[in-house]
Amino acid sequence: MKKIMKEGLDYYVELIRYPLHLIGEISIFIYQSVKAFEKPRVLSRLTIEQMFYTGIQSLPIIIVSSAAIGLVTVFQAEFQSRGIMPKIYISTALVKATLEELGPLLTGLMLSGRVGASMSAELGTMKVTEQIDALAAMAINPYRYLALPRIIAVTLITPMCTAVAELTAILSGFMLATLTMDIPAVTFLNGMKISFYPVELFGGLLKSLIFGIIIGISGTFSGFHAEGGAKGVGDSTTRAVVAASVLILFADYFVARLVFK
Amino acid sequence: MIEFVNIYKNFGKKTVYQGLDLTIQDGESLVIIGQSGVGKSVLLKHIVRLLYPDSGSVYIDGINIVKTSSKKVFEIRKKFGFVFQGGALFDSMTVSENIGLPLKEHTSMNENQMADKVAEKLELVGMQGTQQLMPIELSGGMRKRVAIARAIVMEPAYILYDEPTTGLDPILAAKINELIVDLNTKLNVTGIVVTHDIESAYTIASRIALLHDGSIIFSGTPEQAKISDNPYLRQFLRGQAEGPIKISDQS
Repeated sequence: MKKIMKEGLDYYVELIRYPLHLIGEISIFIYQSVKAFEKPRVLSRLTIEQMFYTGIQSLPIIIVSSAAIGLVTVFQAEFQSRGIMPKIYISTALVKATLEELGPLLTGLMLSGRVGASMSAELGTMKVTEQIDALAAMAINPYRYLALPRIIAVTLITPMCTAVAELTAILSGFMLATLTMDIPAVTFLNGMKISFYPVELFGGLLKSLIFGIIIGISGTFSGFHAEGGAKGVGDSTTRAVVAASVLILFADYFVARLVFK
Repeated sequence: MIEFVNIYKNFGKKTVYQGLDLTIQDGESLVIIGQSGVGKSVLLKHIVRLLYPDSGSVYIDGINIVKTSSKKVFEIRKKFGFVFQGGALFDSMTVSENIGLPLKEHTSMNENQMADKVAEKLELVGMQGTQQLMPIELSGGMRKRVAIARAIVMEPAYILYDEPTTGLDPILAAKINELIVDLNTKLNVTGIVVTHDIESAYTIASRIALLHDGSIIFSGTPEQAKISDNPYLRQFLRGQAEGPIKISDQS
């Protein structure tokens, strides 16, 4: 009986200890990364390399998925409002949904799966094969050389990809509406203008900037803390994607509350 | 000179060092031997503060690296070349980029000067002409030699070798041993080699230290090691299953 109680107590102690320990480790990681900001020329070279690499890597999937989102939004808007609302509001719904929610959220989730996972797997492999130790041993700060450029790159690339995603979604929606739903282009464009507010665009881009920070930190942190062999790298990659996705969903809610009052 | 003073280290419930003391003089070739999992590689990582001891001090040329600032640690690390067990070559870089990276980061050499330096070091390890190869295209022995070239490119005062002959066939292992001896002589560096390969130890060492149960229990020249009546050392050198060293779960 005593043993069962002790095990139960240990379980709950661990349940409290682990998140606190994790928060501590993440805080130290962020501190080390920020502190590593030096040699701006080298840092910007590495960041541009990473931006190019992650941007090229991500654009096809972002374009394809956002085109699909544009199609389904217009289709649903037309279907749900048939006979209730004038067709001019279909493009209004598309623009509002895309700029405020779907564009940033879809891009954030896509990038966490594409870039966050690849970052975590790459750094995790470097960790378990002692390549990160090798960098440190040759007096090169791994936070400056590996973590910081990736965090900055994904933070900058996420709003750019979001802008591409939003444009693609609106274009695909426009094509569907004008080619198959008998909605004149002028009507569609007027509908877009009806309730467009710049705050929606900037709010969405602000969201995506925060999503970029989340993806960058979770991807690099998980990679730097991978342990063991291939399984350790797999686990760290899964953790990076799951953590980033959940945090993005919550951040989406909180930023929306803050910006779209 | 490197000095370990009263080092204690635990990983969770596993005790690695219990009051370890060790001094490494400039110019010597120290080979640290011991069972697998006894903490030989961990010792090397303490020297460049890739790991911290739970208590105790590690002095590098009189500076306690445990207590010094991160900035100073990066300066101290420039005195070292570290050859990791698997080579730890950067997968995404060519041989030339791997070796040239410390030069690019720490010197103001131009591309041509760096290329010359890389070629010179590759020649020293018998790997000339491999600049454009990727690590994946190299065999185990070639990776080790490139790792050695990378470790010596900054002309360090100390070279740390973690199991340099593990996983190599005897002929290749002998080549690597020769190379280490050759480099120590030519470059006049202090070499610290961790291994459980006894042949390597006899070939490379000017001094052998046996790490067991959290401390150094023997230290002496290869000749002294051969005639020592230390039962632990005798069992280890003769590779006997029976003796005072018990095979632990961690081995």
